[in-house]
Amino acid sequence: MILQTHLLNNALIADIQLKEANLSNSEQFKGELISLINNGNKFVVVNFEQVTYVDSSFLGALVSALKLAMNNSADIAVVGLNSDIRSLFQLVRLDKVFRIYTNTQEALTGA
Amino acid sequence: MKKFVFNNETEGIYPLTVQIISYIQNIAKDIVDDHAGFRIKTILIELLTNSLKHMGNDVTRIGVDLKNNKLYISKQDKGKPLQINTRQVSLSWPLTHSKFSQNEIAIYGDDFGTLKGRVKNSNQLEFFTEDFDVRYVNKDTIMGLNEHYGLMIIARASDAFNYKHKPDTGVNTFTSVIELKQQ
Repeated sequence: MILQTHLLNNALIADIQLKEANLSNSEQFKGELISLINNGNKFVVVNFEQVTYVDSSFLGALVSALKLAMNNSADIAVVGLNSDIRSLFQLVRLDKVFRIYTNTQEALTGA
Repeated sequence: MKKFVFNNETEGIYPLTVQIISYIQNIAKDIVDDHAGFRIKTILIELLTNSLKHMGNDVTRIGVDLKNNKLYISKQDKGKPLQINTRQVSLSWPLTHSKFSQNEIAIYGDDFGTLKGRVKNSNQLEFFTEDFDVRYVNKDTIMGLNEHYGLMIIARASDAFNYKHKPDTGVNTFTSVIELKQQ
């Protein structure tokens, strides 16, 4: 499993258990995230704290899951981005699409 | 030009990226700030990922050169020429100018921007992006989001980014150029 999950208040926290989020694991990540949405979770917080780098295929997987979430009246937020991953989100304008928080506590309070 | 060999194995992406960045930091000591470092890392990861997607078991060569504070990062292989299939056009090499309006082709995009290619000659395409300022993001914006970011990431992280195909040798070369500034 790539995502280790636990419930916290009204959110499902999904910790990515990877250092390198890339082509070799993006499809599995997408499948797991889609399952969480299909299981009825309305607010999934994807935690990138352990991730060193993200490639384009992993970003594509995240976007694909967000589209499904939108259709299910759910939402995905991201937390724990290192400075390079945050810059990458900005480069592809995903900072305008995802709610980005420093950590899970911030995500829960919507700070 | 310093050359590095990529064996097209996923596990090799990050170690090779670190190795190349270390080399660049050595040859361009005072001109690689944090932002340039991010751009270089991003470009390398995406060039190597592109290679993984398209090259299978063959090797790819990454070249690094620094001239007049311009950093050139190139990826060279002998795989299939760049394939771009859009609703408007399917690219085949050599390119024919008459196929494209104003010698430009829209490759992919969404409300935030479009990746385009400008035909420089029958064997060369220069990538660039047209970016739009989206103030309000709604469900339609999200549903229309592009899910392919590789070439767009490299184009945005580079000051110039192009692709050349050599029909006589079958060599494909992507080259990214970053203008480094003296700190």
